[in-house]
This record gives sequence, structure tokens and C-alpha cells, in this order.
Amino acid sequence: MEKLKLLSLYTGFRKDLTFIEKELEKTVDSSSPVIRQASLLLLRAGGKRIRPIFVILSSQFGQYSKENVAKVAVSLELIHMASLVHDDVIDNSDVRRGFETVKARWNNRIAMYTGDYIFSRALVSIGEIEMSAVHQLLAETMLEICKGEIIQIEFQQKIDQTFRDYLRRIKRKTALLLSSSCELGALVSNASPDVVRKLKRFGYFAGMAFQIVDDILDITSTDEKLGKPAGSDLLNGHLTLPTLYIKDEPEFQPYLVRSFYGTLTDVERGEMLTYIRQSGAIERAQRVSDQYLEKAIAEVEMLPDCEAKKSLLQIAEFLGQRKF
Amino acid sequence: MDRQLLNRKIQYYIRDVEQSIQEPIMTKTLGRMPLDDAKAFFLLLPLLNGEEWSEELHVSALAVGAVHAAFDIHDKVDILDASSKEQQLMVLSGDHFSGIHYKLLASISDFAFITSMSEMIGRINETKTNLLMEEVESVQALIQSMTCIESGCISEFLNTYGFSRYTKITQSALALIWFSRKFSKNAIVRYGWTGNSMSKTDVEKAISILTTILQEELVSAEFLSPFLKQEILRLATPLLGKPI
Repeated sequence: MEKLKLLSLYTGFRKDLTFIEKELEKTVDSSSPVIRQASLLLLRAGGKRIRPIFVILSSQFGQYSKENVAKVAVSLELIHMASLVHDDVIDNSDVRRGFETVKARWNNRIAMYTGDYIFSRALVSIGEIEMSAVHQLLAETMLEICKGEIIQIEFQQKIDQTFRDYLRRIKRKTALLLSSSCELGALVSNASPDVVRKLKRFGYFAGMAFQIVDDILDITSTDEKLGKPAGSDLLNGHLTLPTLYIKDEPEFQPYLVRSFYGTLTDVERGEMLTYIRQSGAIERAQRVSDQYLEKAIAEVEMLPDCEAKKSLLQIAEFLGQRKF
Repeated sequence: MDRQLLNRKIQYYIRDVEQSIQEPIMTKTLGRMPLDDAKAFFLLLPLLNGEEWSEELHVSALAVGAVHAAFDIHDKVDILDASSKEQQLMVLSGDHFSGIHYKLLASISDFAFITSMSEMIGRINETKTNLLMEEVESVQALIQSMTCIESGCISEFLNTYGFSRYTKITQSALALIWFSRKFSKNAIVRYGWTGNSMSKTDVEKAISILTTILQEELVSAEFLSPFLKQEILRLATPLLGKPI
């Protein structure tokens, strides 16, 4: 139902998205049978394609060029995909979105090479755009994302974390790439600097809301819907916003420690998730996400009226309330 | 030029690459990333031979160094279990180094090189994957694969910046160095996940083929100083004259 709702939001730009989807397949087509198989596996596992959509919509505030937009959108989606392949190595994950991960199907080394291959193809795609600002922004974004991941490892299994630490982490983990998707879409279509700035801020706020909802869903959703075990963040040693609120509660602490150290049984995992759901932490986290969403919407409201503006507003609202 | 000056230039370059890719958390956990002197030598070969070397070329060369650092560290990721903090940081370090390579090339707006280098990085990863998963058909095929992996990015650099006459020497020398290093460690060269290996005879054959190619290239390379020719032979043919 939820997926259908998202698809209906994409109706207005279905053609562009289909074009990008085909370009994605072409870009990762490889002479290596294993990489080809792995890349197709990743593409078919799907995803919401939020980054390409933000690029498409943002570029409509300037002079829209389907080819340039596709190059940027393909590049961003591939960078995202490559980082997921490497994340699965780091988190030792066997399943993502209900599909076997590359590292599980083959091994870590193949996952490293596949990720590096996809990353290189992302740069081949965007390399055709001869705009310094585009490359400098993307390079900075990639380095910041990487730094965010390094910091996440530093924070792994650490209980002593603050609200600010969490926000900094999710900024780099998710919000930056969404913010850059909007900024790059606008830049590549030569939108005015003011529009570029507003879209960049929109992407950032929407990205923060998106990640908070993602962290909430990790607790409120089911293994089946998530395509991985619910509570994976805690099992991987990561405190997220809902769990930050209750990390010091004596009833919750034994679960927290056991999940961080891999000794939590499946029954205990269920009890832990029930505890978090009933603690009020989900509602508190949802309120923070809503605040970011309001900020995102406020940025879009200031943009010139057009179809893309309406779509951005609808998608932003969907992202903040989504159930998958 | 003498060997001292040559080594100094190589070490300066390596120091510059290390400075560009440095990240405090990673350095603390993983220590210094050793860069391959031989790769640095062949990347800088035109400079060492007195060719004009602009600031832009220097930045591009640093980017190639960053890519090699990324390859090296990703090759060290454990094939089955990368869940320790050290291994996790190895994955991310490689990604960070790749990001630095892109940032360096973006800073000089060399769009064509961004594309051609990325094409080559893709090809190298394909080659590594094939080597890991499939049996190689012949010595020639393995030589071809190792040439791509060991010298692909440097060849791309040389070809892009008008130094193609150094490419063949670089390719045969770096492949030869790979075979010689592997051979000196093990009589059987293992190259694949499934335990693919080459026999001693095949290794000897590869070394012999590459040595002949390199020697022929050096003879016809009139543009190259005699001192550098000697250095190349010293680096690439440590087994020459010794019983294998």
C-alpha cells in the first residue's frame, strides 16, 4: 500500500525515472560475470530512488536537460549503492531489503571490488559533466559521508553519546547526500544561486527527517517488511534517536548491553523492541523528525510555483510519515 | 641524476601522497599506509627523465597515488570476516582514499582524466574479480591481467599527459616486479580465492616473457637516460642472472 502511494507520487516524472533506471543498468554493465550479476542484484533489490528523484525535481527549477540530469542522478544513486555494498561488509550483513548481500552471496573481497567498481562507474557518469562546482561538491560530499562512517565506527558500542552526536552522525550518513542531490540537480540546470541554496537546505532537512524515520522503523517495523532483523541498528552497536532517549533506563540497559555484545537471544530481541515501542521514545523521535520536515517544507514554500514544487512537498510529507 | 637524488624525489612524492590522504582516526588505528616505491618510480619516470612537470601534473600524480593506496588497503580486507574495528576502518580508508583521488582531480578540473581514470579503476576491479573467481587460461592471460592491475592507472596517467612512450616499459616492468616478488616469496604463485595457482614453470615462463619485452623496450628507448635504464633493470629484474 505504502509502496503504491510512493509510486503514485512519482507519476509525473515516471518517464525520466525509467530513463534513469535504464541508464543505471547500462552504466554498471560489466565484462566480469560476477560483477554484472552482483550489480544487477543490487539494482533489482530496488530502493526508493530518492536521490534520483530529488535530482530530477530540483533540476526543474532551471534549464532542464534530461541527459545531464540522468548523469548526475545515476552517479548519486551508484555512490549510494556502492556505499551500501561496503557497509554490508562492515556490518557483516547477509540480508538487505530482503535480498542476499554481495558479501553473503560471494565474499568480502568480491563485495569490496564490486563496491569499488560501482563507485568508479559513478565517476564515469558524472565525469562527462564539465562543471568544476559539480565535481568539487560531489567530492566533498563523498569525503564527508566517509568521515561520518568512520565516526560511526568510533561511536560503535558506546553508550555515552549525546543528541548532538546523533544529529552529526545522521547528517553525514544520509542528509548530506540528499542535500547534494538537490544542490547538484539545481546546479547542473543552472538554477539561480538563491534557488540552489533553498533546494540544498530542503534536501538537508528532508534527509534528517528521512533518517530519523528510518531509525524509528528499525524498531517499529517487522523483519519481513525491513528485509533484515528489526533492531539491527542496536545489534550492530549503533544507538539511534529512540534508543538515545532511554539508554539510561535501568530496565533497558541489560538489553542494550547484550545487543551491543551479540549475546541477545531472539526472544530478548522481541522483548527489547516491545519495551522501546512502549517507552514513548518513538513518539519523541517522531516529533524531532516532524520538526525537520517542517523546516524542509518551509524551504520549498519559498521556491517559485511549479509542478516540481508540488511534487517536492508531497514527497517530503510522504518521507516523514512513511512506513517502509 | 644519481640514485640519491632519484630516491629523494620518490620519497618527496610518497610523503605528499601520504599527507593528502591522511585521516587522524585511521592513522591512529591502522598506522602509516606504505606506498609502493616501484609504482612511484614508474609514475614519476618522465619527471626523473627530465620531462616538464607542471603543478597540475603533480596533483594528478598524487591522485594516482591515492588510488593505489585505496587498492592496497582494500586488497587487505579479510575475505571472510571484516567485523573487527581494524578491518572496518580498512574498508572505509580505501573509500576515503578514493574520495581524495576524486577531490584532487576535481581541484584541477581535469574532467577527461576523471573519466578515463574511473574507466581504468573499473577495469582493474573487473580483472581482480575475474582472477579471484575464475581459472586463468594461460600464462599470457595472467600476464595481461597483472599488467592491467599493476600498471593500469599509471599507464592511463602517462597516456593522458603525453608520455605514452614510457607506457610499455612501465607495463612490462611493473608486471615483472609483481611476478618476481611473488616468486621470491613462494615457488607457486597463488592469485585466486579458489586457490588458483600457477606452476613454477609457468612463473618462470612469465618472468622470461616479460624480461625479454622489457629488455627490447629499453634498447629502443633512446629518449631514456642510461642511468634510468639501469635503474629499471635493477628494480624489475632482480632475478636476472640468478638461477630460478
